Amino acid sequence: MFPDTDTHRPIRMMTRRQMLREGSLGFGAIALASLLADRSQGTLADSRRSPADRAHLPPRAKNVIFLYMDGGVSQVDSFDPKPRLRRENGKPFGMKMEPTQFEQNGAVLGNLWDFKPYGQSGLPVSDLFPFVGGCADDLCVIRSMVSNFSEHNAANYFLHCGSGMAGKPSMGAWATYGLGSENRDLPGYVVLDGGLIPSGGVDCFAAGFLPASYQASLLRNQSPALANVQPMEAQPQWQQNKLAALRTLDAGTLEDLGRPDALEAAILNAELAYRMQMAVPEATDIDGESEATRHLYGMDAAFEHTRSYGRQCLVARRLVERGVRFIELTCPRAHGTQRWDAHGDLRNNHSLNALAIDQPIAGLLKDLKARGLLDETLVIWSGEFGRTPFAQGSEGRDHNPFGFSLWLAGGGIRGGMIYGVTDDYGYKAVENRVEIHDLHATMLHLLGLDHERLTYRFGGRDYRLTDVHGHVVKAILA
Amino acid sequence: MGDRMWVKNASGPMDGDRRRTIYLETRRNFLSSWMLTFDLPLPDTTVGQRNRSNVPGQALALMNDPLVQQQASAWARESLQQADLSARERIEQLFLRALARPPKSAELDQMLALLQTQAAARDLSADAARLDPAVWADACHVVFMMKEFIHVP
Repeated sequence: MFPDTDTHRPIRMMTRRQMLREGSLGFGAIALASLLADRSQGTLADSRRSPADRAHLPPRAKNVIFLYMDGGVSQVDSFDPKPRLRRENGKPFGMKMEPTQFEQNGAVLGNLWDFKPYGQSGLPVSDLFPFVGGCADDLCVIRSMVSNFSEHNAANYFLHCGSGMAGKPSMGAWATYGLGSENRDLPGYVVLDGGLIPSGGVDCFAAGFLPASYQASLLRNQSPALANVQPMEAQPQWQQNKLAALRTLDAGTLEDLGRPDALEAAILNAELAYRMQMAVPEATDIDGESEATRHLYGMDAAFEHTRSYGRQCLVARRLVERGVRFIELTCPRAHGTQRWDAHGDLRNNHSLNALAIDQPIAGLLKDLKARGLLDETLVIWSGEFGRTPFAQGSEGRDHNPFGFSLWLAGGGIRGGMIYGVTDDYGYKAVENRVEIHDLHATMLHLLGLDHERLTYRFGGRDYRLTDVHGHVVKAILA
Repeated sequence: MGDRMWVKNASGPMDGDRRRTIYLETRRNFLSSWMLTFDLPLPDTTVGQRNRSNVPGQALALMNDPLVQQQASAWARESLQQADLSARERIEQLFLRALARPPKSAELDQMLALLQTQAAARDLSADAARLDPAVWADACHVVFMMKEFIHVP
């Protein structure tokens, strides 16, 4: 039918788009294409180097667990007590109000929850988080966080990717790009989907301009955690034969097309997929965990969202044990789809959200500590911004990027400390302001990466997670 | 496949009876997990730019999703209706239909070797394997999984 099929193809097969692009730009473009191809190989080869070779500094942490608090938690109701709020409850707000999302600004709203000092440090935590309070001596609360954005999508991109616009690599992608993965059977960057994908969508977990293989893999909070991990072939060997043939065919295509990055990533993904058929069920199967462990994580709690978040936290520990570099947990639907975003009904909203996550997070911290993993795992708890100390409507709070609280624990972090101060209302950071860029710089520093040297050339310049900003917050390092 | 609405609605046979769709009925609370794996945008509103993710889940879907395997079987059965084709000719036809190009000679050899391996794995004689739907379904499945099939425009 086709006597000499090879003569149908040029030596280096081109796609239609490549032909147009390279044809219209001439030989310079062809040279550039081959340069780019070489560089992409270099990048992927780099990723196979061992983490110890790649670190710029002695690492204090090997892994990151990011507990993302979707929608923004009220700092004055959780980690930043302000007695003035209750004294002036219902009175006009005594500072200039910046524009807010909904501009339905009311009077001062006193904190709805009481605070208690916890641990030897006496760190104040509100009654929203009695279990997390029990870990106070491991927490470093930063009360002076600021964000550049007061709207969810942009603030989420900023928190996750260091830029307010979609399309930049997520911090998990940067961490994995910088250090590689320690487990060749699981992705290096995993998002455990609790039910709520952040506003802004999966672009929060994107690889951006980094090679596509650094993008997060989303695991469901159920079994199987990933669709299609079960081979369909009656005999394992039948699948292996097919994949062996496929590997050879794809290797040919890759060479023919000049090793485009996306294609090489797809091939690596296919190899990883094959190994994940075994590794994912093993890592996410919690049947072997003891009753005591399940109890610690709240998996026997009355509230279903406590149980489901407990499972996520437990799986997060199992992924840390298996060397997954960066794990993000998204929130359960504890208050429908309202997230922590309490524009009204603050009491009900924050009560339900806290009930879902408090015991599981404390369980995670205690379990990591008991297994000697907390020293090498950085745990970050944060939303994209905080909430206003004045009311929206009667009992809601609007978005507030001018001063909010987050906490860090574990690898290289000083426990039982408070950093930064907001004004008497808890509205704006007034001392030791910490920007999102500083959080990123500090996180990378703890992982052994210098945020100014972790770069990727794109669009004619070297990009960083911290762009041209960021300072390591040295005062919170152990 | 059991959870897919178009099966429940009995809107057609598995292979679509050669029908294609441009507009597909979509229910927001009942999205196809298959389409989601390949970046189906959430249908609540319009999207200016589609996500183009590249993750192991897509390779897993191509390996193990029942839809892919059933389509591979359907394609093999259809091809085998032309019983007089040699294995070589049949592979050329599969490549032309899936990739709009004939196979290179190395690819042809690779596919012929795969057919032999899969026939031997099933204890089939060379003659029995020549028109065996399961062996050819394996070949079709491999073509579906080729990166060129999904990733090359």
